[in-house]
Amino acid sequence: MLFLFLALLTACSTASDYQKPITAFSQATDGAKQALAALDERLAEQLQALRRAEAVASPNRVRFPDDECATSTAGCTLLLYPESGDAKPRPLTYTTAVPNQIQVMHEVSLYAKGLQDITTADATPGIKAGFDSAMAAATSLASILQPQFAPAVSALSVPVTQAAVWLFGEYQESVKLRALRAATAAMDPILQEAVRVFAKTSEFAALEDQQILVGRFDSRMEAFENAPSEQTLAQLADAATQLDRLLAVRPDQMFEELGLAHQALTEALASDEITFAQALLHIERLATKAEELTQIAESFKAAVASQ
Amino acid sequence: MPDNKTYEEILATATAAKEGFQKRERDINAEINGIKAASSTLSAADKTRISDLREEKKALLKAIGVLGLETAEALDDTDKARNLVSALRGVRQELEARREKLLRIAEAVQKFGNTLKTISQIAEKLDGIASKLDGLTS
Repeated sequence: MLFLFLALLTACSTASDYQKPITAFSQATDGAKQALAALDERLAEQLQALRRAEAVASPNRVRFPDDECATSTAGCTLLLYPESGDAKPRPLTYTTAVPNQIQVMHEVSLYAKGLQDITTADATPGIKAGFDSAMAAATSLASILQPQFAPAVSALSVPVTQAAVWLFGEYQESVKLRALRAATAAMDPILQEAVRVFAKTSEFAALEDQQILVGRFDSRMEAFENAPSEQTLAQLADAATQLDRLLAVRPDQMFEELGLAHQALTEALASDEITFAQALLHIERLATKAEELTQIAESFKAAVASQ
Repeated sequence: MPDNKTYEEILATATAAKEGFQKRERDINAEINGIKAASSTLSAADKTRISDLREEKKALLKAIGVLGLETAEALDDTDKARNLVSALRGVRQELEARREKLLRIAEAVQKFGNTLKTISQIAEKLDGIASKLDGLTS
């Protein structure tokens, strides 16, 4: 029975098998979190500009709640009220445009860190300390109760502790793998749903920057047609390159990669013969896309700041 | 965009609007390219038509941008986005509980070891007392 138990334990994967992909996944998720934060920052700027332009065009829509902005009230919020209908008033100052999704991504990032913490958790030093105390006590007790057995108990204490630590190490690996399997399996459908929400939001959020660059390309095309020259052609070509770069980076693809990476990780952990090649491939793509996206958002931010 | 719509309703309406706008954008591009390709020199009527199309496209691009911003904000302000936070939090907390359980096993073993140590210390003291009593009675 004990032999079968040990055989089952030793057949399990070790932490070193899954530590690398899980650490990589956690790091790539942090990259995606940063990219979403950069997108959100850009989106907040654009929404604020939109709301303020609307406010300037319709000053009567700029109001505040009846129970605010007076000496007897607790605060003051300036809002842009809808022209008609039951839509909610909108803020005129944005610190974030998609607070719920920022929170969702924060949770995803904490979850990825939690997976990593599981792989690095090591209780064997505690087990060793416990067995050291227990064996020392057993030796001491033996010398009092059965002095003739004391040398034998003492001689056994080191191998028994070593065996216990080894056995616990094997047990720990199986507990870790079970925890990782359970968590990834429970998380996968939720994460896939979150990824679809992120992807759709980012797809719509990207439209504003895309339309700005399409508009710039059109106006340079018009300028070139009206006054063809090396200079106007170079300006047109430059606008085409910038637009081409922007269109090549699709924010929704980064979130799709996050979903694919997690799905591959879940499948790899669930299978008896764990191979992480597919998961690592998607994690690598996720990291690359997150970096591209952050760079694009940063370059827009810099362009706006320089204007 | 009315606020009482569900995530799916917002998405369906916005996607249909986006696809309509983007189709018109591509049609305008194709018509301008078609006029330019038809002859090497543009007539006054061609130039007017291209100018009109470009004006229409400017308004269209503006509408696409506003649609994008409004939709991104509206999709976030839905029960679906809010519910995801609590669902994710539930799984994460379960994971943390498992990790803590693993570490608690070691803690229990340590306590067991310490208990044995205490017992052996008591036994040592009792043994000492017994030896003294033996000495007194002999």
